[in-house]
Amino acid sequence: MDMEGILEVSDLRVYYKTIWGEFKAVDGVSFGVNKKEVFGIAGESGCGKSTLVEGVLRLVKPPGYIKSGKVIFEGVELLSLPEEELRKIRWKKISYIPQGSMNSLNPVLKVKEQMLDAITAHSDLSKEEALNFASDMLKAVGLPEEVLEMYPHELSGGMKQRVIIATAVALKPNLVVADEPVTALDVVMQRAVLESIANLRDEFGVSVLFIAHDMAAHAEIVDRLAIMYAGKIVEIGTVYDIFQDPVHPYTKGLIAAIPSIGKKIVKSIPGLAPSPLMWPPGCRFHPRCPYAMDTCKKEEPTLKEISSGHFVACHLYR
Amino acid sequence: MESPILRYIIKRFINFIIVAFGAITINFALPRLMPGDPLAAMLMEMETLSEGVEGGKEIIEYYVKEFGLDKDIFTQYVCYLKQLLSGDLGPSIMAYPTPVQDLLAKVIPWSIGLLLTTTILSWIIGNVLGVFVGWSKKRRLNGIITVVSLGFSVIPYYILALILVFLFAYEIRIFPSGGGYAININPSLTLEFIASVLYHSLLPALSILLVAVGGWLISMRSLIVSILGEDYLLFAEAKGLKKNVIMMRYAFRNALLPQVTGLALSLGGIVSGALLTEQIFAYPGVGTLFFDAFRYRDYNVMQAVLLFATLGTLGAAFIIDILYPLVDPRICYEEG
Amino acid sequence: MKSDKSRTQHLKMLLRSKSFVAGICMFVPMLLLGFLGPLFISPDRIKILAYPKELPPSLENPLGTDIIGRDILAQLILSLRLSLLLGIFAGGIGIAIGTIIGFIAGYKGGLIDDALRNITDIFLVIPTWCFVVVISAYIARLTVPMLALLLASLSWPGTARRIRSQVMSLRERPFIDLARISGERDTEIIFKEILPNLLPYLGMCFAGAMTGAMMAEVGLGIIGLGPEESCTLGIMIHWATYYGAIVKGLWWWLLPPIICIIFVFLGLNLINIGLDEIYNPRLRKVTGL
Repeated sequence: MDMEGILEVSDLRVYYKTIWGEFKAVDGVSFGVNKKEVFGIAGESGCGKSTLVEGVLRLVKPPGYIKSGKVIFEGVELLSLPEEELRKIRWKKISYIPQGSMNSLNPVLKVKEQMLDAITAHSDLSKEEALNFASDMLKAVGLPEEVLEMYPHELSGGMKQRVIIATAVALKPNLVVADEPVTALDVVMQRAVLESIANLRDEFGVSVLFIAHDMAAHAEIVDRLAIMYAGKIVEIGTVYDIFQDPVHPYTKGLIAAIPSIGKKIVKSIPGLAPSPLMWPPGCRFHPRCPYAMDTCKKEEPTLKEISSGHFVACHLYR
Repeated sequence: MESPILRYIIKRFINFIIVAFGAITINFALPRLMPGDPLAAMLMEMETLSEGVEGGKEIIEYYVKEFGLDKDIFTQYVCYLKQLLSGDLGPSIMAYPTPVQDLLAKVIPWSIGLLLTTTILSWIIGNVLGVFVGWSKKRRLNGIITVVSLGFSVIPYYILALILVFLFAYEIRIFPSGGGYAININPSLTLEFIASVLYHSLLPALSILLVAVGGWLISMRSLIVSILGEDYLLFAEAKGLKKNVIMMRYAFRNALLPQVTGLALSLGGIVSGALLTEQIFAYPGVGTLFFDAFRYRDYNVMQAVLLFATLGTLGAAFIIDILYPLVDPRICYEEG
Repeated sequence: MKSDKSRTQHLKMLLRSKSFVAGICMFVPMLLLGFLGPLFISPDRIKILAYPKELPPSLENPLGTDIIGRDILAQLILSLRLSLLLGIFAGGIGIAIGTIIGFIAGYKGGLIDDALRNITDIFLVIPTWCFVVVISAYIARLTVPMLALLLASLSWPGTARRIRSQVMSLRERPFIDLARISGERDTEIIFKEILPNLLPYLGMCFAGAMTGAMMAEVGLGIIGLGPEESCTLGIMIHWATYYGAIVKGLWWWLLPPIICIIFVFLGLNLINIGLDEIYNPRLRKVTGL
């Protein structure tokens, strides 16, 4: 699969300064997203997925800070770009669907004002054209035109989420970064939104960086998937690689834990997720890994390609 | 068809009437609750303060009628209300036979002029400065401005007034120490008069302004700081909006809401403080009248001033309440 | 949900706030000066003509003397003590009343809440200073306890409002429902669950009530009204202005009480801001404390 890359993240580290020490939330993450693909990042809560997203988008706020790393988008290094250049790229080329979109809408502005300001900031559309555009977008996510005149507090959580999604895809960006976009929705809505996301890729050639802890959602729409654990990526592969041939013990655990009709045993992964203040030495998964060996306690494994496009960081595979 | 806005206004109006009635009733009850006979006390005061009781008989007759001391309390209350509605606040004791309402009418324009301008100006200036201070990244400058503003904001107006009078009216004589206008000018709509008025009102206005701006700056700044952590600001930044747009439409608009409420709540304190400040400058407003009435134990004037101050504060708060839905679209739809 | 932090932990948190520490540094010295100071001054210093008149500050009289020859430092200390006492008592009574009313309004809700809210609004609207002046005009002799009660009667509405909104938001929290389901009686819920969470707000309300009461007292003193036979900071300023300190340039008479007032108010305000920084969840996220 020789595809062109649109996003390349190299050894990104995002830390938080706290009074108890440094939270190493994202500790050396590298991956690449190709054009016209949905790339998923999966992992438990607290593994650093949201921080990773904030780092990629350069939206990290104190006490967090980007310690080191590179984020190359369409050939441009984002982390060292001057602010004004970055602002121009934002939304038009990369858009963002934040986690918990409930609070991402400005309470004192009407929906149309909030959708319009993003559209008009990055295009030459007149206000009328932009309005039509916005109402088309809303229809695409299943919301009536009247929503434009409403205020956020008049909408339900799911409706707010869909407004955010509509706003995010309005300018047909090249990359959409979606952080848990369907977590707060009911099953029917989830399906509709997931379909729209897949549609973005199929019809408009948009790439999507899709963050979720729900493996089933990943199975539905992603092309390639990375598994994140304790601030690091432990496995990357196509969706078939991961689901049919999981290699890393953590990945295997995640897949075994997916409930489905007919499955009698749902195994959860024993133990608790470690704290970002003090990651376990060596391989961070070793305290919970059924195959842990001596090297696992001392040496950190690095990502190695075990078959075409399938990478894993585990001492079992050298 | 009942719109939620109308329902909201009606609700606030009913609230206004209830509270106004409460204030009026308290004003009515006050002299009657005080130990001793207020009439006798008044007469005693008049005797000691003036040379003989001029027109004392007329006052007593008037009061017997007004207080209706031979009638029951409810009739008295009704009489009181009737008189209030017709604008009759009784005669002044120290300036008999001038009715109280005439005395008040002369001084109210001065006070309203001073209060209105300083309150509105300081609120606007303080809030705008507060946004910039809260938003900016220049830590050192911010820190200094914040500390200075905080320092000013806790000084009572009249204390600052004293300091200003001391510094600028006596030590460095560039401002007059009192009065509403120069003694030798007659009140008329001439440029000379207006200039003199402005010149004389500068120090009193400044005492209120400096303190109030400090206060609003501090509160707006801390609001902006707390809003900086809100999700919708992050999203606005992700949308690639210009910083100024985010600062104004997203941060400022939201921070304004509690500031408007805060304005309504602080009116009582502003009025009180302003009255005392006036007195220090012998500014011909309600405050000076009040103080003179106090010295002469002119209860009618004092009560009238108290009533006016209370109702004025209430009225202003009511107006702000009505205007609040303009800034906060959520309010009409909440249970309030 | 008992308070999961011990007292020392709370103390450590408070000390981390620069505002709180600054406030303590300004307020506590005033407290010490006012309450311990009287032990160090002899009553002779405030006798009339104890010293020559209108002396600027010197070693013997660190704050100089006034126009009838009394030592100003001694006056300041005694005035400070009385002003602080008035503030503490009025503030204390004020928040006691305010807490009870605010609590009942917030906890019971409904008609009782409406009625109490209207009463609170009425008292909120009345300008404190005007009201106290009018009442003082009626009462021939104003004693210290009377003044304290008077000031308290107008400082409770602010507390009532804040406590009410706090109680209302606490009432809806899940841990209260949990307590109710586990069979705790109402009184238990009030004392074990709600009150501990109110304590930081009570602290802020007290600082606010005390500031308000002292402001009113100073306002009274300046125009010459105050507890008879005693001296408060307001009265001291009154004497200074009335007897011409401004005209004669006797800044050492006028400025010290003003500076004390500023220190007390600034200190209390900073303590308030510090408490807000620590205990207001939204601010905590941003300041990282």
